[in-house]
Amino acid sequence: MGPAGKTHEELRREIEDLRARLQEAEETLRAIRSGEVDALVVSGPQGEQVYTLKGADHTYRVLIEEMKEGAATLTVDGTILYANSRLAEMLRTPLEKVIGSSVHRFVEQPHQQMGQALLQQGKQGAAKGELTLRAEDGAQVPVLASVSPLRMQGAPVLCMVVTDLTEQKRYEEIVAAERLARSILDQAAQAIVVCDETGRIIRASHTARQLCGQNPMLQPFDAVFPLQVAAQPERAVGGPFSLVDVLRGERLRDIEVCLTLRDGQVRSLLLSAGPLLGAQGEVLGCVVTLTDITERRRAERELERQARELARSNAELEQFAYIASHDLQEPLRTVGSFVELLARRYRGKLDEDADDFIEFIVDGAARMQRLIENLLAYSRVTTKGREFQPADCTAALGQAVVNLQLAIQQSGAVVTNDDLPTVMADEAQLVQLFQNLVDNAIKFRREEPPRVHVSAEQGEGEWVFRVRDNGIGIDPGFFHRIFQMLQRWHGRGDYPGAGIGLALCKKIAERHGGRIWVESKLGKGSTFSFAIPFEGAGRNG
Amino acid sequence: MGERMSEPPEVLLVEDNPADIRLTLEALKECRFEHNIRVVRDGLEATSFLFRRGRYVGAPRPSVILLDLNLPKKNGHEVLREVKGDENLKRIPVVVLTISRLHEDILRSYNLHANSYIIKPVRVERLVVVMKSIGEFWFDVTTLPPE
Repeated sequence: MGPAGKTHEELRREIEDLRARLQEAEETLRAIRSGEVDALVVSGPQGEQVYTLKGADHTYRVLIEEMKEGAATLTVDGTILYANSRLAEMLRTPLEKVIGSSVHRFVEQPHQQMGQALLQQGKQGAAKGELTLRAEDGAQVPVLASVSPLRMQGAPVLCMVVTDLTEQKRYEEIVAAERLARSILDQAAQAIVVCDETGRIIRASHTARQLCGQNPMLQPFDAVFPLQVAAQPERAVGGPFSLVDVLRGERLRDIEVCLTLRDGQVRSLLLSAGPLLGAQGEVLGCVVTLTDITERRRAERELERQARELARSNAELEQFAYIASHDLQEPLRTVGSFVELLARRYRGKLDEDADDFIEFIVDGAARMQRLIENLLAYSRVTTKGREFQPADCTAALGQAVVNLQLAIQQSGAVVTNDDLPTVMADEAQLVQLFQNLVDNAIKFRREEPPRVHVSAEQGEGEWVFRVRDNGIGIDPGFFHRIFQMLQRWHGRGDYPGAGIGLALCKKIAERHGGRIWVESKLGKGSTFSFAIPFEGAGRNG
Repeated sequence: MGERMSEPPEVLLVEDNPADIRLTLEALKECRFEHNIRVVRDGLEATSFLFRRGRYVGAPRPSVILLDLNLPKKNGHEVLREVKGDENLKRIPVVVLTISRLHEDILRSYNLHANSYIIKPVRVERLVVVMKSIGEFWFDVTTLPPE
């Protein structure tokens, strides 16, 4: 006997019955979910009762289950009352767990506020917003969520439809990437060519198409662009260019190549190339960039040619000046010597005119002699210059002063100096430079005895020397002329000199990579300055 | 010195430029010292004279040689080498008289045993002084080797 005094047979029937009802109930639940049922008949103590599922018309239920969007009904605070299996799928969460959860649980952190706002708006009327959901496994799902109020009896309910935008986003990205690629290919000044792994051209920029003058698509790169590698110092081998190495993954940077166009024109190009890699780093092909440098090369060659021509004509001119002045010396010596002899023997023995004439010849010959010597000295600055070595400027100035001893004594000049540095220079030329500047200062003096002071200070990467005097000064209008050869600004009789001293100074300063300039006021003395770089940047030798 | 008084010293001038020859002669003239000067116009003539070849068979032996460096046919250094390489001639003082200031010319001359190196002055006045000095030094101050 069992409990409640039922027989074993009664109990067994009761179990059978309960089992059948359970199965019926599960069947019913499944049918409700899948929308197969829209009303239920439930047997109870009050007899059988019909429960109609409100609004759950079979067709719509099926539609909701079948549609691509996720759908749910929510309480106003976001608790999910009902969800279709598509939403559960999107969230990668079992449907049982979705129903009853708060929808906010599935909204990505940065979009939480937006989610809240969407529900608030949804209470008033239809609202839409893009946000990112977070699936159970952490995956992000970009979605468009539409929320609208559902008119139902009792508590207000919201209806939410969620569209998965993952595919759309991906597609948009692809479209954007393609648009970018196309823009680059259309607008790049360089010819850009993309090849597949066999070396066939699969993309070509506008410039590339123009360059090859044909439709290059699906043709072998090496055939469309028959490039010749230019022989370069670092790459001795010239010969035809081939993509083979690039397709093996090699990267090339700025290789100079030549392309002979159909019309016979030859273009100089800089080629860079590298592999086109797939997602797994596999070589899918390669990207080749060609930059047309024909004009640049032409300009460079022209510039080089001009530089060579200039150097040649300069050297020729210097050589000419040297030879001319050297060879001029001999006949001039003869003239000078014999007129001097003439003066020695016959001055006062002929008539007065003869004496005058002799005087003019003596003077002319002597001047020409000095001129030629100076011209020779000028051309020797570069043709016979010595190598730069550390040169003590105090010693160089000292030597210059010794050389000028006679002029210094005769004029009563006082030459003073600060401590001067050691520079990389041709010492003999340095002496000459100081000598000419001090000599100038003494020559162009006022009544009072000349005072000359030499100083030096560090400039930017160079030493700046100054030779200051208390002489007659120079009109600023002549500043630019005084360093030119054979420019005199005083009458011949007033001040001696052949007008070459400062030109020589300029040439010496320039040979040392430096420069020379003057600051002066008429009647207030002059300061000649010259700069010599620390490292002797000029032409050595 | 007494014996030489009767016979003035022989000077050989080796110089190709007629103007320079004349100038040297004029300068020597102003020095007023007794001498016989003979002039040859190139290096080959100079060695023929000194070795008494050809038409110079009877040439006198000079007491001093004034030698220019820049000469046709045989330059001054070659003449110097031959003279100083000859047992008999090497005792004759050779004064190099040139316009060259080049260090290598100066060194080369002394290396070939030149007795003196003089850079020709530009001014006649100085040339006269130089000639006078040569005369005084070689024919008055110096005792030359006996012949």
